[in-house]
Amino acid sequence: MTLIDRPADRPSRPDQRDGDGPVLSDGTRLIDLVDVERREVSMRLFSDPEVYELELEHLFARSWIMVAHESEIPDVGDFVTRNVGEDPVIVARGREGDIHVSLNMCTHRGMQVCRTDDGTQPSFKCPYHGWVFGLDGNLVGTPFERDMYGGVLDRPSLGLRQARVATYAGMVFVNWDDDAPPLEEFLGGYSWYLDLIYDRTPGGIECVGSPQRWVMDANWKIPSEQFNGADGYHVATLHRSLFEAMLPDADVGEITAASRRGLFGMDISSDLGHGMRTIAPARRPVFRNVTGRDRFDEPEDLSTLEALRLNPPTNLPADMADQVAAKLTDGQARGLLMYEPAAGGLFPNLGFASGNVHTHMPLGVGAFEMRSWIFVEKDAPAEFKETVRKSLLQSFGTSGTIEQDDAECWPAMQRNARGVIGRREKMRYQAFVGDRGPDGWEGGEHTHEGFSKDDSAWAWWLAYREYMRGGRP
Amino acid sequence: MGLVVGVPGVHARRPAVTATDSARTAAAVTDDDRPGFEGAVLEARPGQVESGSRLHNQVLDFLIAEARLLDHNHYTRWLGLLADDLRYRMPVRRTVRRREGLGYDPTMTHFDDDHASMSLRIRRLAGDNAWSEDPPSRTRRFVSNVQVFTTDAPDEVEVESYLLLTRSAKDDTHFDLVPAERHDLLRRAPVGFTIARRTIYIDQTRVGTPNFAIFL
Repeated sequence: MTLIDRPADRPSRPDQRDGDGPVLSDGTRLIDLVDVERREVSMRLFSDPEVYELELEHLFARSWIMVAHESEIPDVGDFVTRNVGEDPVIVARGREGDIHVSLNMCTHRGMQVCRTDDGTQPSFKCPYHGWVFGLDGNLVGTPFERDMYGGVLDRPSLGLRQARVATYAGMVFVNWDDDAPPLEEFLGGYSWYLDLIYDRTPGGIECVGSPQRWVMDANWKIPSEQFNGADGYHVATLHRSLFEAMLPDADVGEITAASRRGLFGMDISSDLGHGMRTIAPARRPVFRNVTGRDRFDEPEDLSTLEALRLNPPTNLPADMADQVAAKLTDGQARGLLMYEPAAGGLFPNLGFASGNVHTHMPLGVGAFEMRSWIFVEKDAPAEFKETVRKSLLQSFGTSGTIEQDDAECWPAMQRNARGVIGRREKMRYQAFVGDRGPDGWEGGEHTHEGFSKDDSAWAWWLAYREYMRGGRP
Repeated sequence: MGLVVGVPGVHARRPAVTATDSARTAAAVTDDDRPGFEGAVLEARPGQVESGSRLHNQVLDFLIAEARLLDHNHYTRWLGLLADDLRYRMPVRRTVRRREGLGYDPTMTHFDDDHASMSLRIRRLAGDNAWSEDPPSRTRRFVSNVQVFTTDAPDEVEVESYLLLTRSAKDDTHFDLVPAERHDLLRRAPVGFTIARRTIYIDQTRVGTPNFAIFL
């Protein structure tokens, strides 16, 4: 593999380079595989091993990657093991209650110092030669140190490699790049929208048990751009069976009409690459019965909180609806009432659908691991949480009736990206709403009110292109 | 080491159980929802029905017939084998140290269904737009190691069995494998049994098939 990306005499930090970024071994500039003029993306991006190697460097080593939720490791000594790109890490709760993310690789000979998915222990002992590391990754001891090393072992420099750690709504994010902007900046104004589902009550969210994990034979970008792009469009066809199952007495026309109605809402996109789909809540008919109006845009006769209490957001018990006042601004609470986040993503590889959060972690160019968490409101009654969990399992994750059909598309697209003709073909993103939103809307970023189109997916690809060029959006 | 289920050179995934350490193992396995794991000893367990007896044969015939229905894509007929008070679960598994037990998560599952939700799944699959199983994957369910136990209810038996599910789709030359242990509560029906409870303990922590649009 000949890469012009990293000549030995140039700095190894990609974002210190000028210009157009990597050139692949056949002379193609990587940025040209995302055609900004035509709004098309080359299928080659899914199957080219050179591109994949560059992604591990440019994206997974430079961007904030979600690996866990704080509630998975509540007590000192609790840990889970995860991957960031292809690098295994330990996410551990330290002695001060802080969270440390260490590369799961002994600084002595490269062995994994932790070989389980989770657990509770005071330290990590490498099974190979016995070096022991603390929860914070510091090297705390080695066997027979005087006999073996005399005085030459420089313990302070031999801790496990540490990643930067930051949390949002308890979700633990990791970044290997000291120069990356903080998580808060990485999320930017997009967190205004994420708050509506994940940070809307004083108790916040918690994770239910351990995440599901499974493997699909597809490039990690295929699910990532789909979730991030919100891609309302695919729901009507790929997930048509849901409408059929839920409306057993409806005829073909009624099912088509129902699936079309679901495509109207407001997509959100961010210049930082994030995107989601919001929908006028299913509770709108209920709301209309209460207020006689279709939309909540004249708040004088019913306060936002009153309306939210009558029509609680998805996965929030009605008697907790008032709590949003403690965490959300008035504008956010109204946003939740008008357009509730339904599904979306966080650049580069997180996807979500209400309480279900995924990461798509690469396992080589042609496979990824889906890790699927279920989040519930921590202060909700146990019975309510259990109902939420079961209902999310029905739709998403390994057995989810929605996600099953996505699993049919993604490997087939990957298969097509391998052919010499197929990989020259394009994915197309030419349907745009443009910037359009309700009057007085307080959320930032870009709002795309109307039929769900390509705006958010395209935002993901533009951010991808910028990272791969060596910059940041 | 006593009776260890495992592959040479690979860590046994189940605790080594011997007469002397079975008590310790039982103490480590704390999830009450895993009946039977504590007692994998050579002696017959209380209520165990002898292999080759009429009841054991009836259960075996039922499990084989059930596997055949699913392998031949007769989902709707399979739904008819499920009791109205069905509880159908498949816990998520994690890799943990041996002293911590088998690693089945006490709360998170791949499936957690009742009869209504299972009916919805099957109604969906029966339509023309359930792409994940149309064209269907090809599955085969190999049922073995069947143990039957009587219960306090005269018309109900507990059954533990091993299942090896093979799955391939389209041009696959390889097979996805889903090895599992199943713990069932079967109830006498006019013909055969109905399944009132099934818990599926899969071997994999990271599932090696793209979805569970299939049933185990």
